[in-house]
Amino acid sequence: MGSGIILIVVLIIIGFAITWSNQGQVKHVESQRDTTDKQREFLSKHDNRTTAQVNEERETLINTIENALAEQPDQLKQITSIINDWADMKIQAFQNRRSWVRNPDEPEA
Amino acid sequence: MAEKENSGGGGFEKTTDYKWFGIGLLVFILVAIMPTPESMLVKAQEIFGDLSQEEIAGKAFNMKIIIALLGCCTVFFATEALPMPAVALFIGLVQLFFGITHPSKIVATYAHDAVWFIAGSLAMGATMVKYGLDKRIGMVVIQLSGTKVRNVVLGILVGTAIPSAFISEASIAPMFVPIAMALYTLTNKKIGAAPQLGKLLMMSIAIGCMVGAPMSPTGGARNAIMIGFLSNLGPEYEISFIQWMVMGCFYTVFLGLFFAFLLPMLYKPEVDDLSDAIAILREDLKKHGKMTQKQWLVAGIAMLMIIAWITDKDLIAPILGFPLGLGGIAMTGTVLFMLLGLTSWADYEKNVSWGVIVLYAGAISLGAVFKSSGAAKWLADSLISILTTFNIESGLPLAILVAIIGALMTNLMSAGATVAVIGPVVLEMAVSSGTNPIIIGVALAIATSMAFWLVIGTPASSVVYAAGLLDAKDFIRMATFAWPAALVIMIVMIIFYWVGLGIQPIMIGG
Repeated sequence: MGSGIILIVVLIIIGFAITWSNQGQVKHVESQRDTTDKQREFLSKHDNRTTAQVNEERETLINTIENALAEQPDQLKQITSIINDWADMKIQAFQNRRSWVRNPDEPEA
Repeated sequence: MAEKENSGGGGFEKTTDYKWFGIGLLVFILVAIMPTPESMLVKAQEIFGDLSQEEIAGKAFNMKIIIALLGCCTVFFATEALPMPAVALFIGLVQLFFGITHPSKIVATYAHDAVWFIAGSLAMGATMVKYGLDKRIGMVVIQLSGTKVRNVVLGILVGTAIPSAFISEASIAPMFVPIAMALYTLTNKKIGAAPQLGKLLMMSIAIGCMVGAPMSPTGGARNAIMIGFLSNLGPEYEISFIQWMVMGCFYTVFLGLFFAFLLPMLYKPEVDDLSDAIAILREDLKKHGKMTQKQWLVAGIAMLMIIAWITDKDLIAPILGFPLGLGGIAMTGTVLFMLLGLTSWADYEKNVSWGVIVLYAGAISLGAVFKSSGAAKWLADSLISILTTFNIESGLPLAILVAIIGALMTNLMSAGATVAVIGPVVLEMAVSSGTNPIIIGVALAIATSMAFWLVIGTPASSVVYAAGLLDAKDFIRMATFAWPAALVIMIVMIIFYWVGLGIQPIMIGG
């Protein structure tokens, strides 16, 4: 085979490689986008509430059980603790899903 | 595509893709077994002079191997068949096993001030990101850009373009995405769906990063390796930080202004004013408090480094009697961050992409052996003889041709790889044809920022696409206008602005 023919073959191979190699990278970015979309859809189904809304709900629930279980202090203590845990987790979950822009509590170096 | 520094992509996480690896090797073998062209023997005789016929044949064989290596590396860079740093090391191994470079000198082919410069720039960027200074830039943009959508777009363009000239765009874009997302979701809550607004804000981030990077040598490792290639041609072709900025700012300013008008027309937002969203965001951002003492210190050192880069030749050299060099200043800053307790070596290990440094050291090695073996001269002269037929073998026509090739290639492979494989060839063509290599080199480096067409064009494009508000066709739609416009601005810049600056396309005596 002459040099010219070999060079033409080589150039065709390189051209083919350059043109078709992007597919893998595109797939990678597509899968990243799918993950983001799924995460967003999942979060949109959540019962999302701000810290203020959760605290308001916490207060209402605690007031209600204080009235209802006034004569059962042990159970009142337990359920109050459960409500507080739920409220704290709800607030934390809300903070965790926020970006740095809307989450000023995120520590800076 | 621009460099994928610190992005986690760009062939740094992947293992070998044997299909493309095999194709790359096939290219190497085909060229290597090809009969040595007569023109290579003639060129070897011309370059190496008084050697025996056997030695000349050996030199011509080396040229052929380096051409084979260039073809093979092009396939590896484009397909990411191997982890990118492995390609960089492969370049040295080919020199070693074929006896092209003496074993004691191979490491030296990887060493260059540009490699220090890339390492130091990445360290500076990593430290700034560690202290949240990138976020502060975003906060300033929201404070100053007003509430009109057009002004916010301009703010994002400026706010991403300027930092991208100094910090990797792979750090800038992810920081701006939450700002755009917050503006989009807050507006959505108020008026219902606002998809065009989302597209507009996200695209502004990607474009800002792409437009800003060519403005300074720190805007991308491709700029640094081009400076390295140019300095290898001789001290008269060394280009300073400020010279690069003066040459590159035209492109950034005019293309940035073009996009500030184009983007709101392409993605016509559902609202004109973002007062409510901006007000909420400003309240949130206020809670971040004022800048801490350490943040000021990091910002101060970064500013000092930039000032030192700018004044190295005009102020520092006359005082010290010698310039510190771009790499020297970058390393001074890197060490200073550690001396002042602002960062640790572990931080650098974690946050600096050492693979990028190895990759570009490999590019420097490829450029060095390409030149020293005579392969660059042979290929450049062969291409010039073809271009002579069309009368575009030198001067401005050559510069424009190189810009177009760079702008095309960067959409198919990474910007750094484009500069690494084309750079040494076009610079040699410039020297052979009497064209100013500075014009050719800087034109190529800037043209490689025009990766507008694909979602994987640049790290910033991938980041904004992954956020989910843009489709692949949005990039094509934007590029249909942006790519030709960027080329026109580039050509106007070369013909009028650079020549106006006194950078003559044809060298005296050339």
